Amino acid sequence: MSELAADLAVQRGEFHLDVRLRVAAGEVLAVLGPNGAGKSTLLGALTGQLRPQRAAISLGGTDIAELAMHRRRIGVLGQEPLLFPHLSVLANVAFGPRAAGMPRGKAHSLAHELLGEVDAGEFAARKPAAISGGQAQRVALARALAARPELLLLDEPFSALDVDSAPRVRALIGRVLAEHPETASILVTHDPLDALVLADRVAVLDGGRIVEQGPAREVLSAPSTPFAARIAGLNLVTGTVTEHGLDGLSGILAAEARIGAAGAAVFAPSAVAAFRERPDGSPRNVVPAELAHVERAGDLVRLRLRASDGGPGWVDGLRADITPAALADLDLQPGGLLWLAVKATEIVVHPQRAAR
Amino acid sequence: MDSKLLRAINTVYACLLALFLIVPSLVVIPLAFSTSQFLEFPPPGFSTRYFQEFFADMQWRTALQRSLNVALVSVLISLPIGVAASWWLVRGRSRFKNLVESTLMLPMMIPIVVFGLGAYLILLRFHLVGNLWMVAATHAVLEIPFVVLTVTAALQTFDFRLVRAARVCGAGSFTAFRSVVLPIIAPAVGAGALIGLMTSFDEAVIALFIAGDTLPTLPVQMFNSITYDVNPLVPVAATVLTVVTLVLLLAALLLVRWSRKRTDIQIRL
Repeated sequence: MSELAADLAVQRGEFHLDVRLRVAAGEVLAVLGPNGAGKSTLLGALTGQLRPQRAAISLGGTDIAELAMHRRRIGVLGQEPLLFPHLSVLANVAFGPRAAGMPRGKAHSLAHELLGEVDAGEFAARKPAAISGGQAQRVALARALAARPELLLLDEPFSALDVDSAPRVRALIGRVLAEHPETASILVTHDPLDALVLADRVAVLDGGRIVEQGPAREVLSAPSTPFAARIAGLNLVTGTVTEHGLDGLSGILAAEARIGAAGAAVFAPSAVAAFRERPDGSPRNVVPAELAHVERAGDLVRLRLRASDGGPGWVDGLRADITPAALADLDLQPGGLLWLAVKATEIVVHPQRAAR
Repeated sequence: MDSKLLRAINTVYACLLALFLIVPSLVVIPLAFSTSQFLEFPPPGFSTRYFQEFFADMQWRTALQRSLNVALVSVLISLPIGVAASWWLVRGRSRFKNLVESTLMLPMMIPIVVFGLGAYLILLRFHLVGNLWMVAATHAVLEIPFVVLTVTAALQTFDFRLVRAARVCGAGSFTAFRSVVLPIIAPAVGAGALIGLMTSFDEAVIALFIAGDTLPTLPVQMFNSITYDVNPLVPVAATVLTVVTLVLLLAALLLVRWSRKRTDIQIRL
């Protein structure tokens, strides 16, 4: 079984990265951070593209820090698929095994098997130019897995895809990763949703250091550093997916959400409306809450809420962005009671990686 | 002025220019099929007599064979050197890049007589004249600029992230070059090779200097044959030379176009 334990220090000009990571076999660690946080430096140091000042990288019990790039057994799925344009889809997937000396027949049957896993078996004979971006990204995943990596690096794998194919590829990657419990994975992303759907643990990277880490659900729903809160940004309620949403909440089910499975309802703070009295007309997603405190959020004010006596528990920690005028209308002090309404069309229910 | 008239003048001018460029290289072809043993134009009649004689004549056939051998060997020398130099020029990090590039291009700028004389004087010093291998080696120097020009053009549009993709799939740097870079730039390499073959095949000056009197190649044999007398086989040799060169040129142009298309596809990905 392959476990990654890395202790890295990289100096690039003014920028300094100093990170310790541990990822178990079968585990997915999401590394979240804004541009310039050191995400690509971290990946470069792991793959061997960059020369770190200090590097101890143990993968599956072997120290790989001194090994050449192609001997590290690290697979990469980047923003772009980067398939070899002169090879068929099948030959692309068979490339790694062939480079490692596997006989052609065996490599091709392995490639067929992996293409089946990523639902791309039908493209086997085509050239990369003849398939779509989402399809190419699935093929690239199969190619990365074909080399039997002990560590899989997913570098913003959905950012170059269009809004329709990104969720489908995300769901597929989640499924395929679950089928490969021998592989440790690191997902680098700036989108908390990717982390929520795919990751077991989240590490928040800022200024070259990990400022927060823990189980995905905890970090994203109750970020303990302001920075993590800023990246998470969204309201997040976890529970069980129902026909109409999540537990008592009404919302839109994402394509890959399964009824009865674990899920997370996600909505922006700006989708939450706050009222002094219980509003009429909109029967769904109207709940009482208690105001915890008020903070500035650009031109808006952000209300931090907590559960009120007798109200639903999921309100705890919720954020609502309203205009200063609306706050004045509420005429409320922290500890006061108010009513919240969230339109069902603003809530998206995503599947969540089953707790391990 | 009337734009119609202007366009007509343009067309006529372009046609005249094209004729001036093409006709001298094509005028020898009817002469090769002439019945006359003098270089008469237009030819008085049609026959393949001198064509048959050319291919029956041991001296001419040997000269043709020599030219083909020299062209092949010279390309086998210039191609690997040119490809390696192109890789270094595109990927390498050196202060001397510009200097090396200019030096590699030098044989294109220097008058061929000067270059041939220089090569002759050096080889004479080492008792290497009269040697076809040396002709091939000197031709290789002439060919390297063409290989470097076509291959660097292809490498400049090559997406080197593909090399990294191959490396993380477990390919060593040589395997990555052989199985990813080379197949993608293959049309450009092929075009470089064809232009090289062409350069060597119709080159007379260097071949004359280095092995002219003992082992003449086809162009040298032609030159020798018209210096002292009028030989009806010369137009045949010229036709063979022209046709081979044109075929190589056409193939090279097609490969260059194909190469552009391939790198386009790659950029779209």
